[in-house]
Amino acid sequence: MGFIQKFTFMSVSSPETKIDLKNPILAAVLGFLIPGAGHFYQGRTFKGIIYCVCILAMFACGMQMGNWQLIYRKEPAKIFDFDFDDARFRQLDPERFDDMRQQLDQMGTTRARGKTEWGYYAQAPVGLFTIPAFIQEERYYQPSNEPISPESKTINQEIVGNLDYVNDEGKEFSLPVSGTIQLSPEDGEFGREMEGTFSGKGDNGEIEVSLRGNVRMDPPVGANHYRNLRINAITLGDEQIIDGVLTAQVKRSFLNWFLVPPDHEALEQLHSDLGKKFTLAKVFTWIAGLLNILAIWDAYAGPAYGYRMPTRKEESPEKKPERPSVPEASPSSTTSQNPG
Amino acid sequence: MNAWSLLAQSENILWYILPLAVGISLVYSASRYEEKDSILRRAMRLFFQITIFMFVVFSVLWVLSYRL
Repeated sequence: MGFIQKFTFMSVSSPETKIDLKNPILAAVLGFLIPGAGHFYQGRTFKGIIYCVCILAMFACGMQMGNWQLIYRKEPAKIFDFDFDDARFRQLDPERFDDMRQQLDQMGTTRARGKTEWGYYAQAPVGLFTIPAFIQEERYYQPSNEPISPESKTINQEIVGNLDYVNDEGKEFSLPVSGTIQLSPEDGEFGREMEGTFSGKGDNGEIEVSLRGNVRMDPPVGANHYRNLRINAITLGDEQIIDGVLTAQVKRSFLNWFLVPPDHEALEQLHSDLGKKFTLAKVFTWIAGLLNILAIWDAYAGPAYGYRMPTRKEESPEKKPERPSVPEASPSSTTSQNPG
Repeated sequence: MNAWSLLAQSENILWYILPLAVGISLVYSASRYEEKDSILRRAMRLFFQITIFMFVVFSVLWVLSYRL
């Protein structure tokens, strides 16, 4: 603490250049929450603008490049991925599936925290924009955040999607649709399943589709901005359809995707979409976070070197090297200008 | 490929160094001094130092990878 006081004193020593740090702890906390906010509180507007604009712009650029999915502390453990494709996994490896299912049931969840993303701790100093990741992580891993299944409650959502079907004459169609989907759990031929309707707009005006079967919909909290939905379509208006599937994307609210850990699918998608830019985007956010440590320290203790840069005049007496003394009594020396 | 055409590619991620260097120079310099002129002067100097250093590294790597 003594070091800090001494350091602070050095920074603001000259009376005409005295900086009023007000309450340095409060300034540091504000600076941690929003880059530059501590300096605005202290009335150091110019530096506040530099910190706020540079750090937040750098952070936002990185986030935008990384599709706003770069802030997470723990990524999901890969071993549990199979849960998103139960049936296929069960078919491929029934014994392992049963073991896994048992383990998951004991844990009471289908997702588990995997390896730590150490870069998060470099991003964390941009406080308000990174710390809520802790809350989002808890929400993401809680057992109730499950994909929609036949055991789920009624679904009533606005969707944008595609209806792919084969009609009774054997012709294939792919129809872009948008509208409202309403589904509720029913007892079907093969156990519990979802049943309901889609009503909205297709290519040729208003349409109504009856839906039934095993619905798949991503969990409510997830890193993607949309939840994928897939359900079998049975009729289109009065027309019976064969092999019809409605696939759609349902918008997640901001609070349900911002700072949520991305699953492996989302990460792989990001890697394939961005290539080298994925790492670059992370570097932007890391550097922004690390630079904010300098800003926080500045809000707490003042500038590191002093009020202003020394002028050349001020620098010269210290920096000017002394003329090296000529070695004495060197018989071979001919350059000496000081023979005495 | 010659060095200039490599740099001229718009998707070359090396160009991201420039805004990054501007931000780093300004923030670092602002944490060293309080006076506006001192911050800006030092930031400009630091920006050129970073840019020149990166260009030298780029040149060395380009020479080393010549005809690879």
